[in-house]
Amino acid sequence: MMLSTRSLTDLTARLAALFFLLAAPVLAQEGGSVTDAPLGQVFRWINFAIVLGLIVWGFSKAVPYFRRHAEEISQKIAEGARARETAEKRRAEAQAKLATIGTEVVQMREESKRASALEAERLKALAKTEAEAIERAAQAEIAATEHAARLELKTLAARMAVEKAESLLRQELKPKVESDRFFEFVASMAVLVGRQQQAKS
Amino acid sequence: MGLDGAVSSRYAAALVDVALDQKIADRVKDDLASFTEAYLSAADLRNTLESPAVSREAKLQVIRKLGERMNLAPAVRNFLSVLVDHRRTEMLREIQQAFQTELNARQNIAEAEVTSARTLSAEERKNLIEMLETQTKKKIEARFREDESLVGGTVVRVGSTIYDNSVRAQLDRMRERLEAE
Repeated sequence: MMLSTRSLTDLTARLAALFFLLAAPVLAQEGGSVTDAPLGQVFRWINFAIVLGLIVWGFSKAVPYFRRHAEEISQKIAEGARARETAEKRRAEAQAKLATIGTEVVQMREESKRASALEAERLKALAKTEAEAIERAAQAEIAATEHAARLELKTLAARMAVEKAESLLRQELKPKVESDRFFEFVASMAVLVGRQQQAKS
Repeated sequence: MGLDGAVSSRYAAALVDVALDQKIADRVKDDLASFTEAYLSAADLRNTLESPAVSREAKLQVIRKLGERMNLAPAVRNFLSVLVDHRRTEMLREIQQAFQTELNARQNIAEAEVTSARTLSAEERKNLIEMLETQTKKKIEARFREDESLVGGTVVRVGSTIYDNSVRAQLDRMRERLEAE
């Protein structure tokens, strides 16, 4: 930027010098009034040079500014176009989604219903299986308990009956009865021992 | 019969031979039973006779003194000395039982153990022994004892055979039947 400004200044100075050299013969041919005097001519050229310099300097400053400004505006216009394209794209996508969202919601709802129904069926089957297992276990336990109770009752009844019988027998077994039983036993034993001896021989 | 049983039988048979030759079978039987009982009940005597640390002479002296004090038959003293010499005193219990069995077999004797709920009268005992001797054709040596838990009746064991007429056995069978129904 500095280099271009300097070259522009040099160019302006050269143009001013060229203009001053070309205008010098013309200005030298005019005369008559105070302003036509040589000193007046010099001041007029100086004034002209200053004005020209100011104009050149102003242009040299304004041109890059306007160029940058134009570039920024162009960039912003391009960015705006891109943003607009993006927004348009998003809007189109959103519209497309909105167009299909009803169907998707219906599908999701149906899928959810199916999953719920399946889960409910699974839980129902599981509960049924567990209930059956519990029932079987309970029935087995009841049967076992009933069997054990029956056995215990039978054992108790048998023991009580035997105790009662023993008590009665202790009262009834008088010496005479016992003696009779003893001789009967000896007689029956004689038969048994005799058979065993025969079997041995 | 194991090795110990065979050894016991040999020693017992030898003693039976001596006892029968000298016609002192009953005395030998009683003396041997008495010494065996003393041997089993007195730990000091058992330790002395079985210990390898005690000399043979000391053991024989113990046998001699005990034999005098218990008035054992000379055949029994000699037999015990042989057991000491052969280091077989720890088999005395088995030898005594084998002696009893062998002597009974040689004398045609059968042992009977009679258990009854009450004391049997002399007539009942005689009747039972006569029946057994008639049927087995052996002399019966019976041992009688009472057991009130039988409630009534009698249990007779002859050899390895048991004849059970006790009320207790009948009650037990009745209880088993009731429980099984």
